[in-house]
Amino acid sequence: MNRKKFFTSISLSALGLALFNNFPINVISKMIGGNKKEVKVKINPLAVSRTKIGEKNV
Amino acid sequence: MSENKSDNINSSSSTQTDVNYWRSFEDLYKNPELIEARNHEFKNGTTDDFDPLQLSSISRRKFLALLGASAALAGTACTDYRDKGEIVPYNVKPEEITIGKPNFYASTCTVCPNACGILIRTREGRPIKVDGNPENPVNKGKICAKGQANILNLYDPERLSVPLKKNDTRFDEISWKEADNYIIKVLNEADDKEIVIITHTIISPTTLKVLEEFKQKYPTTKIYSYELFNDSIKNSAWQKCYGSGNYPLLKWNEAKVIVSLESDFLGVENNRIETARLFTEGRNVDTKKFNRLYVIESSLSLTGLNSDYRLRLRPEAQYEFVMSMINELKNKGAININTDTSSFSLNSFALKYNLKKETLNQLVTDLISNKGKAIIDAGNSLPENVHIAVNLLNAALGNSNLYRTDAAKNELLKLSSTKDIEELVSQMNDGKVAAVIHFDCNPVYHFAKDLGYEDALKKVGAIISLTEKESETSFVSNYVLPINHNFEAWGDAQTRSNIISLQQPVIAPLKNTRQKEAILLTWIDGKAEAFSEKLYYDYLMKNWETSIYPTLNSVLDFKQFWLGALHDGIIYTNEITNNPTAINSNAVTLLKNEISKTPEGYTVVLKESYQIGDGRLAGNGWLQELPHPISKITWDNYAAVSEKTCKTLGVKNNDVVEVIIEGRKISLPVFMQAGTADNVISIELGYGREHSGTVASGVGFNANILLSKNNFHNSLIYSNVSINKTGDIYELASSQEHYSFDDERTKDLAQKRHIIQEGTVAGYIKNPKFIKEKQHENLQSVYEPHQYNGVKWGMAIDLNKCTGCGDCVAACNVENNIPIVGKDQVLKSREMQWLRIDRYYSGTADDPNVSIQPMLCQHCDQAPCENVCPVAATSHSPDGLNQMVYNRCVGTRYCSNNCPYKVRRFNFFNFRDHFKNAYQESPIFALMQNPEVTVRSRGVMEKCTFCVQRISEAKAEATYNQRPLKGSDVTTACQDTCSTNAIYFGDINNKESEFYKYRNHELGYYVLEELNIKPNVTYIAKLRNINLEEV
Repeated sequence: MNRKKFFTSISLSALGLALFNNFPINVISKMIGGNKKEVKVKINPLAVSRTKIGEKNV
Repeated sequence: MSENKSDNINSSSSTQTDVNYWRSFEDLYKNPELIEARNHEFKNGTTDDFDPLQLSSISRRKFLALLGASAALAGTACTDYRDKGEIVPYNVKPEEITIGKPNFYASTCTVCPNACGILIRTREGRPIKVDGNPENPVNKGKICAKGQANILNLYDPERLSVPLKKNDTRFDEISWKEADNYIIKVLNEADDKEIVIITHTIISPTTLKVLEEFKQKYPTTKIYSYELFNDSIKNSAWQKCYGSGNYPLLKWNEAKVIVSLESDFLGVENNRIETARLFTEGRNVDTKKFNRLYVIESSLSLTGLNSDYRLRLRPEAQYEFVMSMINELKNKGAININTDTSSFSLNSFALKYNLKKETLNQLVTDLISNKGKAIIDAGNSLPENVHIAVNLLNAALGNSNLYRTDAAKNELLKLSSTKDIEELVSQMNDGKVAAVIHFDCNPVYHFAKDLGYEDALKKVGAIISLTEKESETSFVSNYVLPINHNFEAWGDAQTRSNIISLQQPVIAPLKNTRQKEAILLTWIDGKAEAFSEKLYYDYLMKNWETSIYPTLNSVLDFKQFWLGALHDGIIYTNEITNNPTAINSNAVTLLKNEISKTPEGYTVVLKESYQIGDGRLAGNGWLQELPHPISKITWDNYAAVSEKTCKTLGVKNNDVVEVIIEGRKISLPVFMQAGTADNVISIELGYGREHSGTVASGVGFNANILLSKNNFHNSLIYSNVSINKTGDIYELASSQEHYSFDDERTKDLAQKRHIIQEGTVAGYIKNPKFIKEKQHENLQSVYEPHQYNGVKWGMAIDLNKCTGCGDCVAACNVENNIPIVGKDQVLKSREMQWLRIDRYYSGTADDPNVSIQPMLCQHCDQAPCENVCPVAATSHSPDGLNQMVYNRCVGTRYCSNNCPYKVRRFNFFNFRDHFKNAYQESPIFALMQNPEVTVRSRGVMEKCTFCVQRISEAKAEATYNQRPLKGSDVTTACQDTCSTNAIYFGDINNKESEFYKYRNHELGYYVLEELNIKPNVTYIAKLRNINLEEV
């Protein structure tokens, strides 16, 4: 194989792998498990926290 | 083989060297074809069709290239393609959060009606651990196993996430708007039909106000509250004796003599966190002042386990016992009660029930010599006449000194009586009820079946359930509305007269759920649009501003006061508790001077489960797997019977029997429980749940079927029970067996091996060195001792204070991400709890002495596990810890084999994947895990680490503050939660520390000291306070 052909085939392989990894597999996985809503963690802003265990306000 | 050998095999003159060896006849007769074939490598015809030009054109190079490309493709396809999300720092960091540092929120636990103050530890906005609030004067920084494990309920993947509407047999998801609109319509169209709200005990003054406003808006509303295990009989008896009020709180710490009549005050009754702390304050090895506990009960309870004297007695005989005691004390001139007790005699009583006369005489003597300093406490399940007799006896002995006046129990809403519930059912059957709202309760499961509640519900138009998780009640409801968990909700609680605690959410609702009070407020408003996330918060704050804040005479303005109250979690009111008035002298007329006939047949005592309460926590795997404190059984309930009863019935452990009470029957396995009274069967409720999720459904046996409407809500004791053997077998999973009491080889082995070392108070006072005398002299070792120049960590456990409750086990589970393994693995002794409470019996099967010993990794100086690891996965740290390096471990299990304490736990499976079809692998569980502790996978050994993550945190803090690390900087999870402060942890090298005193206590000993492995956990020997003459 000559140099040009070598680098051409390597680049095409990498592109093919990247496309294959992202396109059919991810789409199918989202279709199967895509309905599950992510649980979001949010703090209630009205709650009052403290940084230490034995800490008293007054 | 040479071809030049002699030809003729038959030559009579051939020698050894001349022997002709031949392989076949062709060889023997020199077949020319054979000779020719020997010159060719291949047989004829093998290479005839070989033509190199016909072979594949793929060269070796091409073949390898193809192989490589296929492997790359396969690798790509088989990678974990799931999007794991991104780890990015906060774009806009919330003010409260410092990444890596925990925050704490004060709140209130609402798992049971005791409403203990809690402090919730959060990391990056999610709660990971619950401990008691140190500012709360009731629980003082401690919380029970149920409170600890409640965190699992928050992250339960089977929590309801959206409102549901029943459609024939299935439930369809609907919107909140649709649910609210329908229900408001039903409520408005109720006319004169009743609207029913059923709830558990109301502990919140603000919730009560919401219910009252609901009643004003919908005037036909009636509120029913129930609690399967309650003290209504006790309170009723108190009111008959004193005219008003409820049974007071007791000064357990000041009592010299405590008599428990079927009262499990250390186990399940009342606020056991507070009671256990106060009780053990009266058992102090330093001051050598010990109270004396007498327990008279039918089945071995946690309180009985900790007794100094224990008598087995059928519950029906308790009245006769108290009256016999009154008669005896009257005859001795110790008390003056103006009632005829001549029918009763303590001696006859002792003979009749085969009780030790010496113990009864000792009890009488102690009560007389400790007048005014004794408590006689009757259990909640005993009938009213026993409570009245006990009140009279306490008053006569002057024991009302020990009734607390600093605080009293607060009852916001009286529980409904059985008669009220029966009337409700009758109304439902007559079609006079428009709607039933189940306010976070499960009456279909809890109510006695013969009340007919479930059938009556079918005649109600709208059945609504407000619940966190599906249940038996939600299964029969038309509308199921999901509510916020305790940690997502606002609220307040007033269970004592002098304090009110606040509840605040530490996380916004994880699912599409709503605060239950806010749902009611929406219906009060009459429009679905009235709901907002802040609805109940505003209402709560307003109620505090108008009703509570003005009574406190605070110097702060309301806003500052409010923020301070949320920060602290508790405020003190100015309410004064009145001393109890003198006992009503007419109360004696309520006592009958006649001995009831001893019931024939068996007696069933239905009890609250230590682990899961009345069943509301049955879906919590940590609690199901927490061993029962007495029997050590997990994942099931059973019929506990005595050895003699087993012989009478012809059954042994795991045999299934049918228990029949007036036609109501249940089949469940037998467990031979030492210390149970003969002909008494003790069964715990809360099991046998249905429609309750993966963990709870089908676990155990639903003994609620035995409840009767005649006894329901009043007493859980049933006489004249019959039992039949079924012939079936059901295996119970126990985490600890017990050898036969009769086998001389194993009898009292724990004492013979000095694993348990005990004494008596009198013996200790006489000879304080009795433990040290048994200590081994300086044992020689071949190993070079480790040098500990800085802090050396150690632990001391005071067995006088340890009650064996198991709260420490639950706390350790939460702190260290311990997986749930399930019943099948517990049967193979593969439970993963790092800390276990060993329970040893001594004495006889009928009247055993029980010894308790928490056992964990001893972090031995010369640990036998360290030497045998082939990959050095377990090593010794410079501060005395036996460390475990999970990623080195290859799972030979040699270390566990060598450990004499058997405290190492092996991950035979990835248990999170193995248990209930990967129930614990649900992504939401990742939020619950403590990020400071590695989550172990399959094939790895683990054990107690002395909470090394807390040690590391303290070290970092000390380094940051440029000061040396102190032993008191670190508390372990088990130590934090122990309500009796039985566990001490600290620096062995610091001779001035409080811990050092316990490390070198004269009662201190090491388990299996003779092995010379130098464990670093000291056990303070248990002392029993028995009479000097018995020593």
